Amino acid sequence: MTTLVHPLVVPRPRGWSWFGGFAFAFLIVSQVTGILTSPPDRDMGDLQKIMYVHVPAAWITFLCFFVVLLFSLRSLWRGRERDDLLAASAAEVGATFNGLTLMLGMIWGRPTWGVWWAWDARLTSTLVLFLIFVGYLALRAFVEDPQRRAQWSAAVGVMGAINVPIVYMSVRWWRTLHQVQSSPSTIDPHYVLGLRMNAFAFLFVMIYFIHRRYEAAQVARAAEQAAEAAALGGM
Amino acid sequence: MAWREDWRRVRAIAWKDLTTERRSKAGFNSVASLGVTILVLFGFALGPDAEALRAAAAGALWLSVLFAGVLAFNRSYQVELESHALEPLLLYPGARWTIYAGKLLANALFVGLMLVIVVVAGIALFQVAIPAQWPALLGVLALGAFGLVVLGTFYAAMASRSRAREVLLPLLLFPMLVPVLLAAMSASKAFLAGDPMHEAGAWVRLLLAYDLIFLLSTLLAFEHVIEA
Amino acid sequence: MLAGNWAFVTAAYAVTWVVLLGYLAHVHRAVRRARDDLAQMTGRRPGEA
Repeated sequence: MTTLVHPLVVPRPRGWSWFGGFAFAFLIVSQVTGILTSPPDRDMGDLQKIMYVHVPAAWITFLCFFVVLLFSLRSLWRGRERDDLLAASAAEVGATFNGLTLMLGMIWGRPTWGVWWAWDARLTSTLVLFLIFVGYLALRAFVEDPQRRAQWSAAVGVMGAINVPIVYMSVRWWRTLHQVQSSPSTIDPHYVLGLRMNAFAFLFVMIYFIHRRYEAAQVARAAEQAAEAAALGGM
Repeated sequence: MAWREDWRRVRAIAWKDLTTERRSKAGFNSVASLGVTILVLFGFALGPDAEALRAAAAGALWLSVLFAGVLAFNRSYQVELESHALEPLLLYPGARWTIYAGKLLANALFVGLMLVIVVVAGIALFQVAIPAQWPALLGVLALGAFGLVVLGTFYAAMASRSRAREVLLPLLLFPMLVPVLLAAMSASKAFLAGDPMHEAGAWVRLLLAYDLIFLLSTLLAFEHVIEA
Repeated sequence: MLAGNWAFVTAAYAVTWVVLLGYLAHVHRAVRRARDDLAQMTGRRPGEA
């Protein structure tokens, strides 16, 4: 049934370890720089330092979702297995950063708003995005046939991506009390360097995670194919 | 000419589904009863204060329709899966999207009828006064229910053919339905109160946009989903 | 107030590192398990493929 036009290449072990080491080292340097160079904020005091982890985590979450959309579309279009595996890897990494963003948002919200959860537009749509990621990963876990899984999860990924801006808009109309979006142009210049460095550090960590997750998926598929071949050959 | 052929196929599929449903009877009756039962349970959770009930009526109504409707969506593929009729259905000539559109039509009628029953029960149980803008409210009900049915029918095509379909469908579907539910609940609530803030219009536009966007994208994507 | 704020900042960074290192461990384990499976599969039928 499964005729594989593009057999998977098994990546060699320990290929990207140096990059992982670099990513985490850069993350430590960025966090130290961010904490040391930032004066306490006028309104938020030292709480501003949470920005260096919360904001990049949120950016990376949305970037991951964009990667999922991109490779889902390509997988629907070209039907190649590695696009599907890459989309799945990005989804798992995205869900991880998404969960982190939510937890950090709550840790930030408690002392600034006085509540753990405020039902504001961005926090709530990030939560809905997390639930969409969870659904996507659950679908993959419950479907065995690789081709079917690829088609279905690509469809779910694309639908989810279409939905994200609509969710955001609807929740914003429903209720809002979040501060203006943090981007290097609207925040105090003291914080720009730290935020940029941390954003890049998170980006490197994300790339490393997706790469390793993709490697695991490739090797696992190769093992499955070897098992199928063994079963067919043994008949 | 081609669209007339397609439309005939859509009607044939919808008619087939509705006939199966009508002959079995058990399906619709039990799903509609479940919808009313959930509504009663919401009444216990929120009541017995009449003011509180009236304020929560719109939300309780939509959630009851959602929870009962989820069962209907999986059912619409289950009959074919149990009798191994899906593969022959795919072998018939014609575009694949007509299968989806036919099932969509059948589900829309099914859920629409259930909605009528739940709404009548809700008006009585939650002591809702029928507002002057009741035609607009009917429009909101139709648009909201259609939004539920579009994505419900689409996701059920996958969930019903996977392991753990009972849990997978709501897990996939509910987060996707957040905008429809928010818009439908808010617009219904606004119209029930006479729309004093003139906010209902924006919600209706959101409902329209949502229904249209997802109708088109699911029609396009269905072919990939059903063939896999 | 100040001390309370620092508690939240510390908690935020701690959560970040726990999540990142936890995922790192998870993904390393996934790679290792997949490689073991592959070695077992290919090792069991030498000469083929």
